[in-house]
Amino acid sequence: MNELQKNLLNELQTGIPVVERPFLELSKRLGLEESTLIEEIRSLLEKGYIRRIGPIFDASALGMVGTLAAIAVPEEELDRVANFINRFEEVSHNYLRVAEGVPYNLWFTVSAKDNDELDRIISRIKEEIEYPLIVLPTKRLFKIGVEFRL
Amino acid sequence: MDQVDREILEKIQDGIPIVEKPFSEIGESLGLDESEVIDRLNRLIDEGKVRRFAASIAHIKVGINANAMCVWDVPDERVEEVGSICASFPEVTHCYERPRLDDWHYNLFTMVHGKSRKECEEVIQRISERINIDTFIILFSDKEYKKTGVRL
Repeated sequence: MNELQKNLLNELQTGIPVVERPFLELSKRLGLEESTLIEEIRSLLEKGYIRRIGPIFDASALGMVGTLAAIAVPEEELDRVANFINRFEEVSHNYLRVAEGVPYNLWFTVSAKDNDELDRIISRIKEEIEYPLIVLPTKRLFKIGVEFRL
Repeated sequence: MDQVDREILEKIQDGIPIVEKPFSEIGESLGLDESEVIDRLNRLIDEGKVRRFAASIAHIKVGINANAMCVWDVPDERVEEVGSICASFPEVTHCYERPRLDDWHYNLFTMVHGKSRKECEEVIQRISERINIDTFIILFSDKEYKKTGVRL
C-alpha cells in the first residue's frame, strides 16, 4: 500500500459526509480530483482492502440486543460447529481463539432484534451443539468500534 | 425509524455505489428523491442510530494481522475506573464489562488490534501496568470464521 492509499483508508474509516457528492467533498480534503478519488476507492474495493462503504449501525440505538458467547469445541469438530453457527444471519463475528487454561475456544457475537429472538437463537444452537456454552451479554459499554490508524 | 428509513438502510447496508452521486442512485432504485435519502440518513446519524458512514476495512489485508481479545478479572468496585482507562488506549477498539459466571471469572473484555501478536502483547502489558492488574488472559484470534457488520 502506498501513502495515498493509507491516508485514504484512514479518512474513509473516519467517515464520509452524507451530501449530494460525498466524494467531491472528501477529494477537496485530500487535495485530489473527484474522479481520481472514485477510481482509487474502486481499486481498494476490488483489491479487498475495503469490504464496503456504508452505514455503521449502533445496534442498541436501533433497539437491537446483542451478546458474546463461547463454546468449548473439540478440535476435530470445529469446522462443523463454526459452520452451523455461521448459518444464523444474526451472528456477526465468529472466531477461533485458543488460550492455555481456557476451555472455550469458539467465540461469536449475536445481534438480534429483541431478547426473544436472541434467546431463540441461543436455544437453537444449544439444541444442535452438545458442548459447553457460555453467554456473556454486555453489562456496560466503555468503547466500541473505533477505527484503526494505519 | 419508519418503513422508509428501514428500506433505505436495508438497501445500503452492504455498501453504497462508488459514483459521483451515490444517494441519487439509491433514491432512484427506491422511488425517492435524492434529498429525501440524504435528509433521512443525516437524521438517523443525528439520532445516533447510524454512528457514521464509513469504510469497513479488511484488517488482515491491510497488515493489521493480530487481533487479541484480552479478558481481565477486575474487582467489581474498580470496573468503572479500569474500564475508562482501558478505553482511553487508542489500540483498544472495544471495551465491555460482561458478567462473571460459575466457571468464568473474567469480567472486563478489551479488543486490541496490532500489526503483530508481539505488538498486541506490548500494549496489553502497558495497560496492565497502568491499571495495576495482572490477572488477565490474552485470546488471540487463530481463525476468522465470520465477520460481517451488524445487519438489520
